[in-house]
Amino acid sequence: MTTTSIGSSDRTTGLPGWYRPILIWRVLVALMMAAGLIGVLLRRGIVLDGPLRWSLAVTLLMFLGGSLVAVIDTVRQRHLGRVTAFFIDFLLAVVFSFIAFNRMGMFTGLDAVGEAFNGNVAWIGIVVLGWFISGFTERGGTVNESLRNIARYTMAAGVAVLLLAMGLLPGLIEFGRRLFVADVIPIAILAAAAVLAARTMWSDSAARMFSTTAAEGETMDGLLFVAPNMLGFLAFMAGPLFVSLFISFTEWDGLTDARFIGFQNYIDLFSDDLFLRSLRNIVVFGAVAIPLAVLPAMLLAHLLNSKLPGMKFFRAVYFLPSIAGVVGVTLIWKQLFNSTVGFINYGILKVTDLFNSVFGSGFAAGEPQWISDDSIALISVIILFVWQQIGFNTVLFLAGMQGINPTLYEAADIDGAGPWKKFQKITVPMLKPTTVFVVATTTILALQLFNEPFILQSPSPPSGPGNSTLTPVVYLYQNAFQEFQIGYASAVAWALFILIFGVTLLYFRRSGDDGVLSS
Amino acid sequence: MKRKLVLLFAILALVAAACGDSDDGDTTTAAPGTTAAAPATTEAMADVSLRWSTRPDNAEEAEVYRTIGEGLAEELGITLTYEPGDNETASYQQKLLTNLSAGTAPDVFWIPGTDIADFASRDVILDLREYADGSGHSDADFYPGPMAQLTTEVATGQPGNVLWGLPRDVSTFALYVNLDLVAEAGAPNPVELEAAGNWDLAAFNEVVDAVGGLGGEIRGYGQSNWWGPFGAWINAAGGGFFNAERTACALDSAESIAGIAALTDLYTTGSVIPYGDDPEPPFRAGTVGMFQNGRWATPGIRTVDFNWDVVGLPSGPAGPGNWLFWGAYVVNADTANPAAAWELVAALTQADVQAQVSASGANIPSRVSQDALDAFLGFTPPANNQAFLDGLSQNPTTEGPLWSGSWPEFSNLMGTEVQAVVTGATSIEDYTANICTATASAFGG
Amino acid sequence: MTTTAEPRTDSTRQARSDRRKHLLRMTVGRGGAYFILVAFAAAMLFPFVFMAATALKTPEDTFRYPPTVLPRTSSTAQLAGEDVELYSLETADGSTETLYLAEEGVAAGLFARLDDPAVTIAWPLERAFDTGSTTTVAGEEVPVFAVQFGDETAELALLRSTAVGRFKSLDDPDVEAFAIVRTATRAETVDPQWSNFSEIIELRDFDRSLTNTILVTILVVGGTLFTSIMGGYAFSRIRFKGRDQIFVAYIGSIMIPFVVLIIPLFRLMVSLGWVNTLGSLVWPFIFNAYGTFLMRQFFVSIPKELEEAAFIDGARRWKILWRIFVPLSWPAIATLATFMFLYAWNSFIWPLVSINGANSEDFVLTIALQTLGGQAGEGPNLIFAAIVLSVIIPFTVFVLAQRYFVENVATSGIK
Repeated sequence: MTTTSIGSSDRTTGLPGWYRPILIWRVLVALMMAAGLIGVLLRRGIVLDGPLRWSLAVTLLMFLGGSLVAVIDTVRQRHLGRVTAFFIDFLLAVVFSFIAFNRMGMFTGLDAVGEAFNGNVAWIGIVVLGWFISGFTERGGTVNESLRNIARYTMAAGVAVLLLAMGLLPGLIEFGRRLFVADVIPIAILAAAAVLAARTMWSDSAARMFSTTAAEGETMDGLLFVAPNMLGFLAFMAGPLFVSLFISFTEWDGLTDARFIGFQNYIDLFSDDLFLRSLRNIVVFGAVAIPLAVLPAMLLAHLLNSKLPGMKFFRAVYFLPSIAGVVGVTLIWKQLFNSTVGFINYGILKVTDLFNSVFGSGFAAGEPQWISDDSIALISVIILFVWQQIGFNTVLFLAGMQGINPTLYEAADIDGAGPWKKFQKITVPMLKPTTVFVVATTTILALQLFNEPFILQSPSPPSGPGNSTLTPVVYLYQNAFQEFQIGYASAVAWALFILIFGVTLLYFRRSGDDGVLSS
Repeated sequence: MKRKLVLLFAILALVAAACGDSDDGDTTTAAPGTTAAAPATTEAMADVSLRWSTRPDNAEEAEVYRTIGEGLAEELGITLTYEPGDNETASYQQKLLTNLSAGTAPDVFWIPGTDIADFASRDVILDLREYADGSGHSDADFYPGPMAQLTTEVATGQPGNVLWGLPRDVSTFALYVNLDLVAEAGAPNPVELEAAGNWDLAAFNEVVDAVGGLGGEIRGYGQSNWWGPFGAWINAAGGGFFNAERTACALDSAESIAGIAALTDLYTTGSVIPYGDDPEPPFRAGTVGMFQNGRWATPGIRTVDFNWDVVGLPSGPAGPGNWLFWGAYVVNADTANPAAAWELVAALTQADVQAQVSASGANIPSRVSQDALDAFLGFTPPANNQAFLDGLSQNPTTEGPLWSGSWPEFSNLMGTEVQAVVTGATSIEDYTANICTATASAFGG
Repeated sequence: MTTTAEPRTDSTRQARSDRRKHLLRMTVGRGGAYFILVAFAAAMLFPFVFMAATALKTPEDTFRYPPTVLPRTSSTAQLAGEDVELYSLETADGSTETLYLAEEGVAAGLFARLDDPAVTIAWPLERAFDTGSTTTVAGEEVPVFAVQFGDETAELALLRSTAVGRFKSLDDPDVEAFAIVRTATRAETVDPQWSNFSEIIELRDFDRSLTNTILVTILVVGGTLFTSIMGGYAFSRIRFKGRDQIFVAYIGSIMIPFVVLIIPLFRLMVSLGWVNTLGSLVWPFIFNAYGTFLMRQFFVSIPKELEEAAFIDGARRWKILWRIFVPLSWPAIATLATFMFLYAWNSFIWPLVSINGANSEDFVLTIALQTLGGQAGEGPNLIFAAIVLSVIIPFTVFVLAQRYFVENVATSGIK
């Protein structure tokens, strides 16, 4: 926020009634921030994990600075005072409401909704019925007003019945009761005060007093609109990201205090056989799985792109594996892979028999242990990954092909080019940006491989026989949630992050060269 | 209108969300907080609410525990919530530890015997001795093997005046036999061989070969690949995982190697379910002659449509050798109601509760009492329940933790090495030379 | 494989021949194309067909070898108030009849022909008599028996003992046959076990997992739409200082892989007391840079005039956004909704970490499935019934809104 010129010309009406309470509030907030900062620094009564404590201190320091600016500029009635004060109040309102709601168990209360919802989910049927009725109200251009009312009332009744059945009334009473739980009251009061203060600063009266220009008003609007995203981003992404970086420099088991050990975790990574093994596995996996998931997809997309009948059906079928969840399909494949009663080995047996009877040869069908043999366990993961990924990539390629200018093909036709030549000379080069994108997304997915080995190997450890399906994410998971080496696991996470980031940059650079990607 | 309706719905849903169940807020916010300084004997029992958890072996057993919990809640006058764990062998304990670190673990929970030391040394379970002393409890009521481990001091690894918990039940291995396949193959009936005292490794191999000789998808034998099944071979050969003080690896002793060599021999030449594949599905499909597993497999086997029975493990060069498996109820160190938690542990291990659990077929009572054992024999099928009691009485090795070292690490390292030798990836000579160095880091302290 | 006008030639005969060649090439090409497409479609569909069929099997049927697709059960018949299993066997007179298993474990021998020991038959010892003589088979001396087959008797070598079943006709008590029960052909009927679904719902609160998943999905989709619409509007239509920098930084967060956030997010959940609650699956996931980006791109394409007219009316931005922009943006909203729907419905690693308690009441489908899959005690039929329940809703939504799924993929490709 920049300083704006002092607007004092329009002060004919004198100070508005809210000015004095707001000023007191401003000073109170500044004092509160100072007290909080001292409290955090002295670590009195605040039990927090190490990195959280420091980020809290920095945040409080920023708030304290902001509050001081707000106090001074409110007194001077400069526009900066309004903006700072508004955002501090806004953030305080958010934070205090959050704490109050969290203390009241509002966020975790979803489980109770789940329970109540479970028995009464059928009442939604009434709402759906109303929805269907509303669909008939606009038949033939004229709106049937009475039918529309029926639809509205049906839907409202459905919602009402659902909520009552789910226990709305006792729920409201409980809400009121929890509001007056001792430790919630002061926070709730603070939250309410912050909301009031923010509203006041937002009002037209404040805008006039601080002589806000249209552009400044727009800035406030804009920041307010992006606030949900920004707060969420800070709380659940940027914040954790830096906490994670900090943890990666510590030795920590999650139960006792963390110990700062500098780069030791990262140094250990390079001599850790298991981590190196996981990298080797993922490279082997990627080298086989990525071409298999990309090249056939390009061929399939090329076939689908022809205007033959039935292509929509095939497209839908190919897409199915990526819609069904990975847990479900992995469990299906686990049964197919079963070495004694599975269909895959039975298929191998049948094909070998057929081959032998046709050629009179005597090959013996092996009975590969797809999941428990350390030399092929990774292959079963590759098959599963490719099977799930290929249809998705096909649709990506198809979208890319449909973006190719058809006149190119028409020109080629005039030149008498055959289908293969057209594919080679037009489709493949024009598809390069899509190809780069498909390869990049598939690579990033492959680098984060976790679900497939985890479920295929279960209930054995996900690292598989002889660590043959140990991937970096599996190793991260084992370290963090099974061996309680959280600091080390964070180092694994950051090493992987850097790897993935490198791949992403490479992709940006490649597609940037072609001038396809802007912004 | 429509949008306002949706908005109203959303807000009301959120409100109902928070409040639908008034107990909910209490359980989540009042997670075990501070350790009570002194045993609160004046706790108002009616207000006490405890959560407890076990690892049931199947859905029916989970129901049995739920019923038991309802009964005990009434008996003790407290609120009890039962949370069945999943039965994945390793992740159950790891999930528990994660929940302990997050402060969301139950007040009372069951853990396998091998993990007692790990949990105790992390300070996450409570020493129950002072509660037990005043309650008429006697260590001698239970099998001595588990109790020796449950009364070991963390610091010294020696017996001390502590009590980490009470054993829920015990179990041991037997061979589940598909009698139809054995008869079809014309092999001698193992149950009869055992009764005649001729059930040794040679007889076992003969049955495996005969059944495997039926050809096609039929296999003679199958066992799982965790430490118990191969450990039984080591035990039967007179070897063991550790030295007597449980402070060093003994996997390279001549006896231990003999056990692994016999197992490797079976897996390289015999007709068996490939090592690492779960043998239970094919056994239940009727394509496996014999299947080694514990009592916990019985409820699942009871549904098969062929004739079956159980027989003890064949006696090895050093006579019979089996496991005494066990697990114990322990108390969360952060529980708000330690006294009530102890009462729950005691109640869960009393004789009639154990009888209730054993009736479902998956367990053997952990109390040493003739009544309990006599009752156990009546829980048929299998007809030959005596095979399990023999396994427990004939010199079994008690499942146990590592007080100086890390059992989870040891079991991981050992499992990888044994898998390699049994599947032929390494030779028995290399295995002999390397096994104790490969597992040495688990004793690193 | 294109639809183009052929270049004209002077000679019509030449043109006709060209056309014929072209037609031939096209037919061959089409045939090849369809062959490849069908082959891949079969590979994609088979696991789902297998899933649906296995979900309807009995537990023992799922372990059958050789494996079959259709759910079958043995046919049974009532005999003296009891169910008996029916088999399809060859009787003494050479005809194949439906017989029932009257007795199991009849002591029998495995007999081999004297001239060709590879031909063997299992036959009850009660129908065979030791002749006292012996013969040599594969280097071993074995006794020779006179074995009765109906009216005929044959001299066969006894290789070893075995057990057979005695099968009888339901109509004619004199018709009798012997065979090894395991390999005897059972009379079977296709018999879907619909009860698997009700069983899985009762077992382990599976219905609760389904409800929880629906709830989480609704909230994640709704929440993401809300924040994305707000953010997309601000980034496209409101000019404020630092907008483009914030936008680039925010969009850059798409590059952060989720795995790097797992550990700190879990610690955050611990601090907030959200571990083992559904809230941990919802609230951190309703802020989505990709969604904001998608909405912004769409809003940018909406003509400015619409907005300016509204401004003259004195409407505030909030009203303009929800009254003018949102109704015009259904394609983008539907695309984003399908994307988030799939994400929320199928996410696994985060629930695995944050819902890691033993209480099945806060499970979502993926966790319930994974827990079920790890249980040796439950038959695959129940696990597969659970999988069917977990995929049926995404499949239905896909069939109804296929356009948006494909569009979602296409837009992410342009990204």
